Amino acid sequence: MNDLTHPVSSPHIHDARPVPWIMRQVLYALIPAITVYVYLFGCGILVQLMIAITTALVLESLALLLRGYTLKAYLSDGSVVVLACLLALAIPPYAPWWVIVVGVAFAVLIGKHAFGGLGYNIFNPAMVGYLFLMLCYPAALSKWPEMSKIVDYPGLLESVRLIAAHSVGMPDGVSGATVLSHIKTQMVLMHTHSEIESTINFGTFAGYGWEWVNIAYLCGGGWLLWRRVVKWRLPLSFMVGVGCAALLGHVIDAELHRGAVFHLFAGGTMLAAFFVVTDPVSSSTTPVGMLLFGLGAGLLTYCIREFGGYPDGVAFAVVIMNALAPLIDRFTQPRFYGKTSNTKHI
Amino acid sequence: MNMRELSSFRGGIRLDSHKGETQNIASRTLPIPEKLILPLQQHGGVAAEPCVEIGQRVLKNEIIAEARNYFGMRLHAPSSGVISAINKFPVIHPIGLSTDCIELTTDGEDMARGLNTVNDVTSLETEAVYQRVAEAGIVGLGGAGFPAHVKVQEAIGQTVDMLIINAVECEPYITCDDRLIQEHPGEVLAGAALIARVIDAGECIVAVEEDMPAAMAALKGVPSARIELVSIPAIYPSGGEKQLVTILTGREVPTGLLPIDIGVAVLNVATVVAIFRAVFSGKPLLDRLVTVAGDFCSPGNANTLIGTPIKYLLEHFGVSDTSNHRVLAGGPMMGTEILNLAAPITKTVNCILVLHRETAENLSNACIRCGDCLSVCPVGLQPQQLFDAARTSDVDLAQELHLFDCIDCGCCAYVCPSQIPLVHYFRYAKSSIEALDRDRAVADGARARHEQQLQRLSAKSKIGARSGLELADVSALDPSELERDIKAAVSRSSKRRQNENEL
Ligand code: SF4
Ligand code: SF4
Repeated sequence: MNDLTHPVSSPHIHDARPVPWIMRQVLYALIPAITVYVYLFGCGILVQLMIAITTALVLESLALLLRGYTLKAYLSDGSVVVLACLLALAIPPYAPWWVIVVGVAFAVLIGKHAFGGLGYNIFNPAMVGYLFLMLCYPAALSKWPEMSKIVDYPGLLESVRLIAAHSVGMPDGVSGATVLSHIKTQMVLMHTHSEIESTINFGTFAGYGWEWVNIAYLCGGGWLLWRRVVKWRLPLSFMVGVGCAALLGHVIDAELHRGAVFHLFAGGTMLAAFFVVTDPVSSSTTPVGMLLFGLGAGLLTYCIREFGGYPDGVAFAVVIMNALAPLIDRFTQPRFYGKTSNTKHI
Repeated sequence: MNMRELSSFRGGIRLDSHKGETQNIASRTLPIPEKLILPLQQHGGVAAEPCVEIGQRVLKNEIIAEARNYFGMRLHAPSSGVISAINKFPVIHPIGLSTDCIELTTDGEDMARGLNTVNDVTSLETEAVYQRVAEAGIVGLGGAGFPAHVKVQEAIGQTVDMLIINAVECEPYITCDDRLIQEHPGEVLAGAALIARVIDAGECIVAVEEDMPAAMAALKGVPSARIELVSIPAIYPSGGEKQLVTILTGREVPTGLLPIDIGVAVLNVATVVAIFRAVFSGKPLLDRLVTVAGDFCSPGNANTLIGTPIKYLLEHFGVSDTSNHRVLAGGPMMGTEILNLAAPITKTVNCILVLHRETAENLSNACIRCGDCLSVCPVGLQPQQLFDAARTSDVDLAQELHLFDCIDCGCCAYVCPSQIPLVHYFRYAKSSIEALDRDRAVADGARARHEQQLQRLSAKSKIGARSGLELADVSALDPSELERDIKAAVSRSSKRRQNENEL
């Protein structure tokens, strides 16, 4: 009766914010971004989401069964659905179907279950899956629809056809690079930013379309903050990390480095700030540790974007910081009550 | 209203207080139950030694079991009747064990042995006061059950700058201290003044929680010169001993020490009233106020004889069918589930709580490392890391993370989104580490004795030039190591004692 699985131990009341509820809030918070995706790229993202979620649920069930867990308790926590959605949002909406399947499979089986499942995965599984794809199928991940060129948005059926077509890339004239990867290639060719700007649609401040995607993530993130699902420390310190590094770079050489606003609203910055670095499982948990984790991830993201070989650095940055999180936690333990040796009478 | 600057402790939670349900209902007195079950052990110390026989007639107030040592506690007959059994009976226990109890079959006449009253408590010597407290069998009534005379003695032996009368009932539902103050404010303040005089306290504060306005008003209605009344914010666990000290003094009690070590004595308000009655009228501790509350229609407080079966108490509050409920002794945050309702009320039970049995949510119980537990822990521990240490039985890590500073308050488990029974893991870890320490101390002792014996034998057999050296080796090595191990074990167990003492 009094074993660890059915304890009669105190406390006998609980706050009603269980994990499934939290995961639901995260999914709700993704709705604005998904809407913007559909507006910008057509229905591809919806198909990707469906493939991702189905794959994730099937593989999660399989992994749980193999590891001898009860399906109901573990599947219902919803964490694997969040994982699937994040990964689907990170890859090009018309990537062939097997890309997301492979990504999700790697994320769930290796990123999550090989480490012991929810709570024990030291690396963010979605980022692990993304990195795997990036290393193995870089071509598939670079073919983003060029928004300014899409005249007819693919509808749902058309999207299914495109994704099922098993071909890397988009129909003629539609495939292209994201702003970040465009900059990367152009910078390698020794062009300055003012030259590059004339070759791609830069939108208002961070690349046409991408700024809207990021604003949508920001809205979702704000809602999560308001619902107290995420705490301010991680997202804010991440944004400060990216922003400060970008500002510094821009001040040093404005022709080679874009400013803070660009970096904050380009690529996956906001997605990372509110949905990736805030993953509690793989980030720091101590108050000071959270600040360090966010700052570190932000700085690394910027550095990899600007000086590394990949257009966006979020996934690498987060995974590197994941590896450091236990260390950070260890050195930032909060001060505990009674740590004083002062026995002087009051 | 407060003259005093209050500090705050870290963490803690605002809980739904549920106090309004019983706070303003006058306490009732139950008819004497037919049988009283009196456990020989009602607190952390040693069990008492029965000094009556089966079949013996006893009067109310008569001693029926004697304390075995300084930390023991004597037991009195709460009413008149016949001792009908001395045997194992079910008691309130986390896993439903039975312990030795005296069963008293009452005769309903409630005939009492005369008490030795004093007319003027203000002139009693310190020693006489202490003696009367020790004779009355009073333990801490706030739930910890530490012997009151020991606490008083500790305070007498030290310079006490501040005496805090703890009336901060921070657990939801419980209002027995609230009712006690409303019904007997004079005794509370007279008791406070008495103890303050005896232990020569620099100042004396009665701390009341902010959602006990009627109690505060009642205290204000009694003129008292030296006693300060302070209203404490209702943030759980503000009534924890160390938390309260911090709120009132801005100081933390160093880990491993007691409030008295920084010159603060803390006594629960019901204990103070019991002490006052013992000193003034020689009245032993026979009854106490118990809150009976929870999910049923007529909750309240009852003046209950020690030994009253919980079932009997519940029936008087109209609760007879508890098949869909859980019955707890104590509050919802720290209480113990009562597995057998035949178990009796003991001196430390302040509340019987009847809660609907919730259908447990089907959760995976995986820690998602959200850090919520860390932000509410009033001690500033890292429950999620402690959980890892406890789960993997990493004894060293657990202690490095200050497992023994955990006060079992339950804040962490309350907020945990995965509803991990963290407190359960921590208690389990604490008790297994203690058992380990005990075993080790015993084993080390045995080994040391064994080795000494071997050495003696070999010394004897080699009586000659080198025997002196070998004997010297023994005395140089063993005792110091042994002593260190024993000291470590003792300090851990004293730490535990003090934790138990806290809430
Ligand atoms: S509150 Fe529960 S899930 Fe969150 S870190 Fe603490 S133990 Fe883990
Ligand atoms: S039970 Fe222990 S670890 Fe949990 S909040 Fe209370 S003191 Fe902290």
